[in-house]
Amino acid sequence: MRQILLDGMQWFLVACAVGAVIRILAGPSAADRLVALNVLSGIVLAFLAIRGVMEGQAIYLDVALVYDIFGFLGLLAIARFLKEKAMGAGEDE
Amino acid sequence: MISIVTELIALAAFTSAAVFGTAGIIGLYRFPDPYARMQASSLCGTTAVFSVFLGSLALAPSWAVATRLVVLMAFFLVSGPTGGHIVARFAWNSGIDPWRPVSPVIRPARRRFGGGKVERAKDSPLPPESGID
Amino acid sequence: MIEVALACVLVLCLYALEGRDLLNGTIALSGVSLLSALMFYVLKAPDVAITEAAVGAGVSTVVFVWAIKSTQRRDLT
Repeated sequence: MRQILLDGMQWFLVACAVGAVIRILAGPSAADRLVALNVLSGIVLAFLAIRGVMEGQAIYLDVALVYDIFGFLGLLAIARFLKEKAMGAGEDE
Repeated sequence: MISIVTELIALAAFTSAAVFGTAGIIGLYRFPDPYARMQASSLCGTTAVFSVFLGSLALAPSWAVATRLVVLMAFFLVSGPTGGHIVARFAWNSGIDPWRPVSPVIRPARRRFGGGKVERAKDSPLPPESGID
Repeated sequence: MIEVALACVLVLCLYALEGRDLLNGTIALSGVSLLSALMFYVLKAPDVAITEAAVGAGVSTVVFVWAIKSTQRRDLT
């Protein structure tokens, strides 16, 4: 029962991650891509947590915490310094 | 006996995560505008992930894992919504118009915060010299 | 699990190479480092995953953004 729960949830999160990656590729403007990146990092975080519980060792969850901090930092860097305006609305791709 | 209770809690948490996850991902594709997609994605990116954390907390094998999960949940509650806010600010500053033009009452407020000249997106519903901006 | 992550990494890398807008390339590369940290994790190497997460999502994205900020955003090639 426990194993079924964990495995089922993992496959569901992988499906959500693929959905988010498709939105990253397809998103018309950079803002959609950042939104999809935000979703993707949340989903990967959940996947790490579930996998950590399945493995049972504590170091696996340190990865999730480190990833949460640096993912947030990277997103902050992207959104803080760059603007859509320099490139127009990104429609000439 | 205790494992039955924890598994039931985890089952409830994971089903709610599945429901919110599918709603979020479907919303991410159905909505026509970055702002609406942001609402769908934060719905999926924080609620579903948080209930996954709750479910895995119920199934945590040892105390070391459980405490790390609690720390992770606390930090995720801070960084998740803030990330959503940062992306919204990025979209608003780069002049992406909301799907429905924002009513004039809200628009002037941007100037008070020094929002700067907003270049209208090509297919923006607002007429060029609408004077609203 | 691994194959799905590898397929996503491949597609994101191709997009980062082909795209003309460097900001979208940076976002794609951030996704690539995210998925590669995930793969190290699934392959039971948590310390390598920690390093990849710290370097990939944190430092390299900031360096790319810094480079884009000082140059222009359109890839002329």
